[in-house]
Amino acid sequence: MVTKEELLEKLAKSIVTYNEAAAMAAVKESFENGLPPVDIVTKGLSVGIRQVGERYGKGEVAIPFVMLAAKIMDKATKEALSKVPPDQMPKPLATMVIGTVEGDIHDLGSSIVAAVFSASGFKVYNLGHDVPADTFIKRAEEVGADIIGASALMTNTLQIQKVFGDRLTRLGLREKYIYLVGGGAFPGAEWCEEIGADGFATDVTIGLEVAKKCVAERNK
Amino acid sequence: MNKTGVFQRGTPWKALSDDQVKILDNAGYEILREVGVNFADDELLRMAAKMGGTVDYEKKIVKDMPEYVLREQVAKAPRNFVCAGRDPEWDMIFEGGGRKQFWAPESGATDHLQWDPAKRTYSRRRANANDCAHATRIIDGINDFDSNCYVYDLGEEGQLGLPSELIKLNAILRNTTKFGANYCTTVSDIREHDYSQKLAEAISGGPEEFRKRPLFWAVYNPLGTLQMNKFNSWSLRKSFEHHWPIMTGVAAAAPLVGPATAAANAAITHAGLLWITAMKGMYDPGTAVINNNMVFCLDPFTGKGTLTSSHFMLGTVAMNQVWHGLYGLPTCQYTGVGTASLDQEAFGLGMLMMMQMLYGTDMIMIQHSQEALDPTTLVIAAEIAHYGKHIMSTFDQIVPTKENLALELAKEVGATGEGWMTSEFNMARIDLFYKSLSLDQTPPDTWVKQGAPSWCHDICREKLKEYEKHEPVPMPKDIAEKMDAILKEGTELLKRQDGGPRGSNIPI
Repeated sequence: MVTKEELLEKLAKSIVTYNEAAAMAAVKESFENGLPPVDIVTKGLSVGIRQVGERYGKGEVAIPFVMLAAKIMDKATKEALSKVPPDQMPKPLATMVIGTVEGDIHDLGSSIVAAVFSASGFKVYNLGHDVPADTFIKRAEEVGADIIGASALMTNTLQIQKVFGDRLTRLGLREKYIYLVGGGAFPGAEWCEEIGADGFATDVTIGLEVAKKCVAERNK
Repeated sequence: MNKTGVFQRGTPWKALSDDQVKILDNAGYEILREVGVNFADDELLRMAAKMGGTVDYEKKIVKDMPEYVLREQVAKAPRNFVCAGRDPEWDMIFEGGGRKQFWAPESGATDHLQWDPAKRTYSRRRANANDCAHATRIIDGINDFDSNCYVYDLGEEGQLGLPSELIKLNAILRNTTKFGANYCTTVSDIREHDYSQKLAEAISGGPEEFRKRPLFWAVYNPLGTLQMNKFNSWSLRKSFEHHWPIMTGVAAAAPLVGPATAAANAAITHAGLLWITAMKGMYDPGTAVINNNMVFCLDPFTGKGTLTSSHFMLGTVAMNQVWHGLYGLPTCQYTGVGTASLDQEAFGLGMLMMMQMLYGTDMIMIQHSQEALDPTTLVIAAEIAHYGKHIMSTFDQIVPTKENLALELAKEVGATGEGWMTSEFNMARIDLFYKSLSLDQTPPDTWVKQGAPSWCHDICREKLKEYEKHEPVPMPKDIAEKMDAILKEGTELLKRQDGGPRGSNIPI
């Protein structure tokens, strides 16, 4: 008879070893042994994905592996929670809508952020590139997002981060969301202050810390 | 007397056999046939269809381009062409692939790094047109740079919603008599390109004069593996209309958006280059194409560009072999080291640029940090170019001719060697020895007494002051006035209105 601890370890290990088949098998085995679905995710799979995130932060794991772990995590989580009623779903650290601003087609960075944030316990909706402000807002409203993340690579499109912030303000939504900006265009502290964003980062690991801090402050 | 370039001598380093070069070349055509390319722009898709490709307008993919059409068009690309300076003595005259070698610095830094000598630290701010003009004047005055090229992107103007590419081109063309090199994509409005063309024509004297003696080339860095986004598409279409030479760098950025072997990465890159070269041949015949041999890599741990990987080095030499050997066309290269640190740049660029020289790359662009730049790096780049040119220009001394071997003199001087020093043979060849522009050759004791200055931070920064004194030949007054008017009109028309993005319907 396999113990609960052994099952949780299997779940975590399947993510750490990027083994999709093992992850799905571990979920199935957990079901068969009566492990609560929420525990499968929060005490099993999530432990693994956090380890991957931590190892990435230390420079021990390359981006493709983080992306792969996030993909497996997502699939296994969906399977584990497929029969859980909405009101019993485990709560993510926060829900985030992210994308690259309108006019900018560079979405590699925002995709990396999406994967790393997912791996760190955030529920992330990645809207891709060249995303109009209203699309960000509509999606954020739909999914009940806590955070909106707007990325820009070019200084030409950096301006859109300001336009977007102003748009949120005009719609009376600015305080509703944590507004984070990032990207290769190097939004610095001055820029962040000028446009009234809640935080900025040019590096995903810094971004993660900023986001966690903002969420913690909001939850106080 | 033309002042630019050195003739390539010796045998460039090769990574592949002739058969392997053909396999790589054929793989490019197979990729175009089976995988296809993605154009965001419908007009370019229609143009591709006219060339015989199968176009899926919904997915915006072109496949099945007839190989004979591609080969025919690529074969027509000019081997010999001029990249003109305002001063014809600074014309870069390309004579096919692997014949001559030119050097220039390059960067796309959006920020300027300001060194504080007292605190020995930097502050950072957005770069602007003045920074670009300042760097252009420095580059103009350094003879080892055969061409000018922007080292600053105008972060400040871009952030303010101004047509930064137009403003940048103005800053460059006014402050150099050399070729202006890289003209990049704009995200504002396709009409920005027309104003840029007007600026250049004001100097050239008209469209035909510009066509004969182009003052810049348009640069393409398509993203993804075989993708051309709308901004690159605008620029490509305008290059057909205005007959801009083009310099294309297709970036299959391994391993995040490209395959993780140099061969696969090179094959995809090659496919993209073939494709753009063929389109240029079809829709703007006779205008030059210079392909970037870049086989691009990202650091898999950080996602940042890193060209020190073997993928890049091996891929680029293979690409040179293909484009030189099979098509006779010149190649271009820019090589970054992904750092703002001067000492890391000195190490990385020195190493990478010497490799490019040995590969036989025709236009070597010493690429500095793409993020934030200290103009002192131009002094480092000048030393690198100077050294590269030194090796190539003194190459003939290794050829064991009777004169070079000097066996008769060796017998005369004898075994002890002292006689060599003042021999007519040696005295006549002192210029073969490297004379540095800025390297510190003081003995250790002196160096220590001087406070152990850093080459990058102290000596190069001091040398920069000397370069900063250079004043380029001023633009004639009447032309400058024309340029002022064009710039003013273009800026007024193209600046971002009401605080929103140009061409956008976002209300604020």
